[in-house]
Amino acid sequence: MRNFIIKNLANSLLIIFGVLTVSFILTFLLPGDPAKMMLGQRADEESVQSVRKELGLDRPLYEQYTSFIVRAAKFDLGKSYITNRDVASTILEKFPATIILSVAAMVFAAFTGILAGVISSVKPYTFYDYISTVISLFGISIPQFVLALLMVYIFGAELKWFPISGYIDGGWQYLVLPAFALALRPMAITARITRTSMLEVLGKDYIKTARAKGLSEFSVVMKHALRNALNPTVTALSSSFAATLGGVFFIEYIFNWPGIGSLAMDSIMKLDFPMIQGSILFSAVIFVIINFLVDIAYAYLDPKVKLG
Amino acid sequence: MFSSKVLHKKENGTEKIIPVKKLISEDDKSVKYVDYTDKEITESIAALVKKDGNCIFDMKFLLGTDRFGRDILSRLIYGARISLSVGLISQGIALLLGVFLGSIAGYFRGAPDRVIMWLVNVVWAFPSILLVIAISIVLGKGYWQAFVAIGLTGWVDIARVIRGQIISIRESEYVEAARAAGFGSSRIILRHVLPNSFSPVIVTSTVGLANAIIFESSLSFLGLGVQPPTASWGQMVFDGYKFLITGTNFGMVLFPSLAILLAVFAVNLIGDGLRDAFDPKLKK
Repeated sequence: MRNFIIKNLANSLLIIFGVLTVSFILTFLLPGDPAKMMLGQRADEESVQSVRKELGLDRPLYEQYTSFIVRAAKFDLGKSYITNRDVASTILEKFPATIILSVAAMVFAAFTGILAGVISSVKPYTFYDYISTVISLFGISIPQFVLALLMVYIFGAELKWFPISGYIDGGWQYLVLPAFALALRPMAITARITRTSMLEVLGKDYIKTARAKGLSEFSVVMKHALRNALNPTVTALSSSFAATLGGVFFIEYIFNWPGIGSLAMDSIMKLDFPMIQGSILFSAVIFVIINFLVDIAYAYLDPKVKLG
Repeated sequence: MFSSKVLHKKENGTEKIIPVKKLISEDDKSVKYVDYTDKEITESIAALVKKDGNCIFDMKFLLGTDRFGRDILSRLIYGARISLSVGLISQGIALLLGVFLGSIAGYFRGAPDRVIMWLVNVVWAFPSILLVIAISIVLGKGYWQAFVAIGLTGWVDIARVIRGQIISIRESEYVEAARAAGFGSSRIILRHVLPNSFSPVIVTSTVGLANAIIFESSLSFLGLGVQPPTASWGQMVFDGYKFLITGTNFGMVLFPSLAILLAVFAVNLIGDGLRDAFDPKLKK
């Protein structure tokens, strides 16, 4: 077990190192002079030069690279071009909002997705199954911003059921639309994966045995089949959780939810590069960390994983 | 709501009773059309039609017009070019990269495998939409930039799938036979291994195509894709988004949204069909 953890940890650190390198390269390739962008186009040459020196842009590339890695390891991600605030602390400030949205959406997605998948697999090729298949294909096909806009229009502007913009400190109503918009895709994926894996498990011999023992259909499906079928579902859910924790870009932006996603979107609109880089880095690192934890949890729960 | 009608004026109609000057073009014979976002204009035209029998409403722009008076339907049809071509070309790039790197990783294992899988995991860690956006900011706004950015992020899925396939195929007897016959690695990979690992790759790249269409529309929604006046669906949605709450012309958002949704839905349906067709377990 210990070796497994160490091996995974080393692997994750290598990936984080790669993530840092890629984002350094992207920033380096950006068109335009960062010092000029910070000061505005009309800045005089002298102050541009002094800012270049301050940012270390006058040093050779490999020195810039190593100092970038060292600073990133100390959570120093630079300052925003626009507000001049510290990037790392701004991101941490926005993180709780993203956590709330992401957890709410994942709980909803897990519950409804698994339920829909189980019902489809118990009654395959029936009317219910087709409806659920079409809805989940729809959920996979709709881009986030299209879904968010349609919901803003239908539930916010026309029916006026829920507020369309704002944060949870105004009340739980503010969470409903963004959480549902975010949940639809993971819900659809969960339903599809659960259906496939349940169909496979329901054909197994031990299900026949359980039925032959005279167990009720409910207990056969929920206790014997579902528990064995949940593995791929949990993998899919945890990876979408890891992805959404790093920020939900279009949904947060359209619903004006003050999380990391809307921070990233705002910085993209304003071309605030340190902030863009910071939020991309943060998302990627969170993704790696969550996946690392999930792998460890798997190894605890299922001894076979360690061997594979 | 949106309008599907156009204000026509008959040859002998008198000009003075049209209340809004902007609506009248200099050439009397031309078709007059308006953006029906403005309720007042719509009402005054309705009143006008009642008063003057020479003016008629005509079905001309089936899905209405946008704020410049451009026909939404024809812009949708032109926008399909952008979405589909960006989707197809970016998947082409992703397929080339993914198949190349994935087959090297799967066939040779060892050090090349570790390096390539590390790269795959690094790209995987980034939220793909942000990576696409970041690459297209680096490359600049535009058409080819969009599909390069999407292609450069989309190859990882294909590389993973093909690597897995090749790892299982390289142990098979016919590959061993080919090796025993003295064939080189590239010949074995291209002629013996790849053709036998293609069905899951086709399914994966169909799903990738659907995602690429989503990415393209997201990019142009943010103004980073194809630049106006070229029509693209995402950018049409963004244009309408400004009028969504205040205005009444919902068609400007609805129709391009539906176009994106239908395109992605259709590609996903093809993917599902292919998966079922290739899956031996489902064959009866």
